Amino acid sequence: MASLTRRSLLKSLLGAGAVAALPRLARAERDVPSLLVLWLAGGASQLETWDPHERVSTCGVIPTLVPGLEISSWLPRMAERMHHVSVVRSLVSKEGDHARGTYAVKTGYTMNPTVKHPSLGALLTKMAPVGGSGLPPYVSLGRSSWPGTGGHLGPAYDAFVVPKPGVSLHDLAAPVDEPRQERRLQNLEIVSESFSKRMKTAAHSEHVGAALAMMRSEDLAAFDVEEEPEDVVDRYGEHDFGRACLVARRLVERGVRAVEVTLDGFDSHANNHEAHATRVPVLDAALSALLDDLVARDLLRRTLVVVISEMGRTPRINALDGRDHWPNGFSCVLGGAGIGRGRVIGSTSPDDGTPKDVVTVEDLGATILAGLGLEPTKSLVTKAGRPVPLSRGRVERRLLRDS
Amino acid sequence: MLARLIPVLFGAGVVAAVAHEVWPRPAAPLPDAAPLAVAAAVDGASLPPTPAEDLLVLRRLHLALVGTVPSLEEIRRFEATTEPDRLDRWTAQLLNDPRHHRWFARRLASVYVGEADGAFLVYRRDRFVDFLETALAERVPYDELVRQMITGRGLWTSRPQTNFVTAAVIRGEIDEEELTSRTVRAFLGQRIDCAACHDHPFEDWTQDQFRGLAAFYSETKHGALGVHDTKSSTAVAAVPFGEAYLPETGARRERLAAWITHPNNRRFPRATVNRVWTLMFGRPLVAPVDELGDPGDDEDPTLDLLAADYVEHGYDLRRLVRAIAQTSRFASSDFPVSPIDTEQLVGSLLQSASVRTLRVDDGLLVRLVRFMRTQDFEKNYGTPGENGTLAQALVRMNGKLVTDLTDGGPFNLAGRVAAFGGSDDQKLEALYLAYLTRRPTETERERLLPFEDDDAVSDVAWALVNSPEMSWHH
Repeated sequence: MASLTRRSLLKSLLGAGAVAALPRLARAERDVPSLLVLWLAGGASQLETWDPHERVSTCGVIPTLVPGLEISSWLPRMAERMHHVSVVRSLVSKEGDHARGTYAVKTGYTMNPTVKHPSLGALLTKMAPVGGSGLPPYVSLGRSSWPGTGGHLGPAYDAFVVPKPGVSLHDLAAPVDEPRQERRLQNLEIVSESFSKRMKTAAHSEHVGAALAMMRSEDLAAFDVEEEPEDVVDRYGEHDFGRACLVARRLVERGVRAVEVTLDGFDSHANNHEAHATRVPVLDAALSALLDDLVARDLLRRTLVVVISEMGRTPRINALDGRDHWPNGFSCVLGGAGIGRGRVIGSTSPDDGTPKDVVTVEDLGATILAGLGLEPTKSLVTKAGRPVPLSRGRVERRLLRDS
Repeated sequence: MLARLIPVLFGAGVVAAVAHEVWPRPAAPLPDAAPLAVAAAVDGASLPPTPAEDLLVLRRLHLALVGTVPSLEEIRRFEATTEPDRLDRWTAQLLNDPRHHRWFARRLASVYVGEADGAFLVYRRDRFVDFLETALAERVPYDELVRQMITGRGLWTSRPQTNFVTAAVIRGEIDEEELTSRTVRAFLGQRIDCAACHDHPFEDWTQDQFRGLAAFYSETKHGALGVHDTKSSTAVAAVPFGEAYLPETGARRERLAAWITHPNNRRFPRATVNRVWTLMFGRPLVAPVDELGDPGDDEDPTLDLLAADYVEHGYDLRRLVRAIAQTSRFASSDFPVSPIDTEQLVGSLLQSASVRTLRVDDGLLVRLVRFMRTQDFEKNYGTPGENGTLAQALVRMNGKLVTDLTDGGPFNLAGRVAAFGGSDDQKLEALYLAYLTRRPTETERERLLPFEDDDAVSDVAWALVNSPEMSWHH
C-alpha cells in the first residue's frame, strides 16, 4: 500500500455519515498501567545481550550506568539507560521447544491440555478493560508465530495482529473506493436481513459495525508514523522493528492496554555471532528511543516494559558456529510501572552457564502482574467452571519498586 | 424443468469452454442407499420437525463431510437428480469421495493429537493424516484403527500410525500422562487428565486411577528405531472401570487397546458417535464432546441407539454418518446454529469463487498456490467463537484473500459471471447458489438488481461472503 497520510486514510474510508465523536479516556483510566513486551523471537543469546562473559561471549563487554552491571558491547545506547530498568539473568523454564517455551513465557504457565491459558497481556486487558477508544485493547505488532492469545477468555481477548505497523494498515482499509464501499454495505444489509431475522446473529453485525467504526476512527492514526518528526523516526532506527516500537509508543499513549512487538531471527543454531551482531544493535536503537520517549512523556511510570525471549542459548558453540537452545539460565529486562530500577537478579556461571538465584518463568509472570498492580493469586473462572489463578508463580519482591 | 436445467449463465460464446463445468453431468446414477432402521428409531414416535430445503441439507452435508460448501457444478448435478432419497444417495456417494477421506482424516487427527505441531523431528502431522485418510478410504473398521494407533511400533515414517504416540513426545521423551489423557479423551470421551494432578473435582476419578491407566504406556519409549516397548516397568497397570474387559495377558499396550475397544465397553462407541455427531452438527449431542457420563447413569436414547447400531455393524464409520444424516434432526429446519470453523470458511471461499468443483488431486502447483493464499487468512482469522471478533470482521471485509476471490478478474466466479452474458437474474442466482447454497428471495432480487456495472457483481459477491449466513452452520 502507498504511504498513508491521515488525509489519504480518511479519503479511502466511508465518507458518508458523521464520524461519531469518540469519548476520550477518563483521567483515572489513564493511570492504569499498560504492558509493553518486546519479544525477541527464536531465543536471544543471553551471552550476546544482557549477561555477557569475557572469553565466552563473542561480543565485547561494556559497563553501564548501573554500578557493577556490564552488558553486551552491541548495546551501547542501552548501557546509558540501564538505570531505568532491571535485569534478571537466572530465568529458568522447563521448555526447550519454541512453541512450548513461548507459551510458558507469555502466559506464565506450562502448556497442558486441560486449559488454554491467556497471555499476560490478555489477562491485563480482562482485569483492566479499556473503554471508548477506536483501537483494540491488545495489539501484536510484527510477524509472530504465536501472538498473544486470550486463551480460555476467548478470541475476543486475542491480540489484534498488525504485521507491518507503520508501513501498511493491513486489513484496516477498504480495498475499494467510497461509492463502492457504500454499495457493498447496503448489499450486506440486504443479504443479511432474512437470516438475521431467523437467527440470533446480532454479534456478527455488531462486529461489522465495530470494524467500520475502527476503520473510520481517528485513533487509527496511531498506526501511522508519518506525523512524527524525522529525528524521532531516525532515533528508533530505519527498520521495521524500530518503526513498530514507535507505533507501540503511540498506541500506549492512546491508552492501548497491552502491546507486544516482535523482532525475529534469534534462533541462531548457525552463525550465532552474525545473527546477533546484526539484530542486537537494532534492539539497542529501538529500545533506547522507546525508553527515552516514555521517560520524557512521563509514561514510564505507567508502562511496564519487558524485553524477553522464549529461552536463551548454550554457552558452548556448536559445529555451525551457532548456539543451541538453553532454557536453563537466560535473561530478560523489565522496567517501568511497579518494577524497580537498577536491580540485577541472579547470575549464570561463566564456566557452564548454570544459573544461581533462579527465577522461574512462572515467578516472572507473577512479578509482572504484581508490577501492573494486579493480584496474581486472584482466579478467573473458565467457561468449564474451573478457577485458574492469574499466576501460580511467586512474586519476586526484589524486582518491585518500593512503595 | 428442462429449461431450468440449462444454465445459460455463461453465454453462447463460451459455453463450449465453460459449459461443461456448470451443466449437470448426464445423471450418473447415484449409489443405492437403503434407509437405515436406526435413523427411524432415533426419530422415534415424536412429530417430525419441519424439514429444511434440500439444498440447505446439501450444504450441511458438504460442510460436514468435505469441509466446503457444494460447488455450483455439484448443485446443478444434485438438482438434476429426482429420486426421492437423493439426499441419502448423495451422502453415500460423498462417503466414497477422496475429498471426504482427506477432510475427515484432518478432523480426526485434530481430535487425536490436537492442533499444535509437536516436537519437530519425531512427529509429522501430514504423514499421520495420510495414514488416517487411507484407513478411511479403505473402510478400516474403527476399532481396528484405534488398536493400530495405540499399539503402533516402529518409525513414524514407515509406520505412520506411531505418530499418535510420538505426538506426545515432550522434551525428547514420550510423556505418558499426555498420551494417556489424549487416549482417554479421544477414544473414551472422558476427561480423566484433571486427575493427573489431583482427584477430579466432579467425577469419581482419582489420581491413583489415572496413574494406573498411564502405567499401560510406561514401557513405551522412542529412539533411533522409532516407537518400541521395553520390559522394564514395575508400575502397576490398572483400569478405573470395566475390569472384565481387560485381557489378563499380553503386552501392556495391547491390553489397553483391547480394553478400550472391547465390544462391551460402551464408552468407546458412545465417544465415537458423539464425535461424529459434532462433525456433522457443529456441536456435540452430549456436551462437552469429550466428557460423557457413565453409560449406566447417563442414558441418552439417541446416543445409545446409534452406538449400538454402529457396533453391531462392525464399527463402520460410514454407516454411522449415513444414519445420522438420515435422522429427521439432520434435515430439520431447526438445526443448531454454530459458527463454521476457519478451515471450512476458507475452503468455502475458495470453492465458491471457483466455477468447478475443487478436487483433492488438483495439480501440486494449484494446491501450493491455494495453500499460500490461505495461510495469511487463517492466521489472521484465528478461531471463530460463538460471537466472532472484530479482527475477523476486518479480515472478511478487507483481507487480501477475500478481495482476490471476489474481484471481477477472469479467474473467479464473480468475474466470470459478470463477463459471460445471461440475464441479471441468472447471474444473481449463480452467485447465491455458489456462496449461500440457495436462491435469492424475491425481496433480495428486487433490491439487488439490476447490476449497474461490472463491479456490481463483485460487490454482491463481497456482501455474500460477509453475510452472517455464510459463516454459520444452520
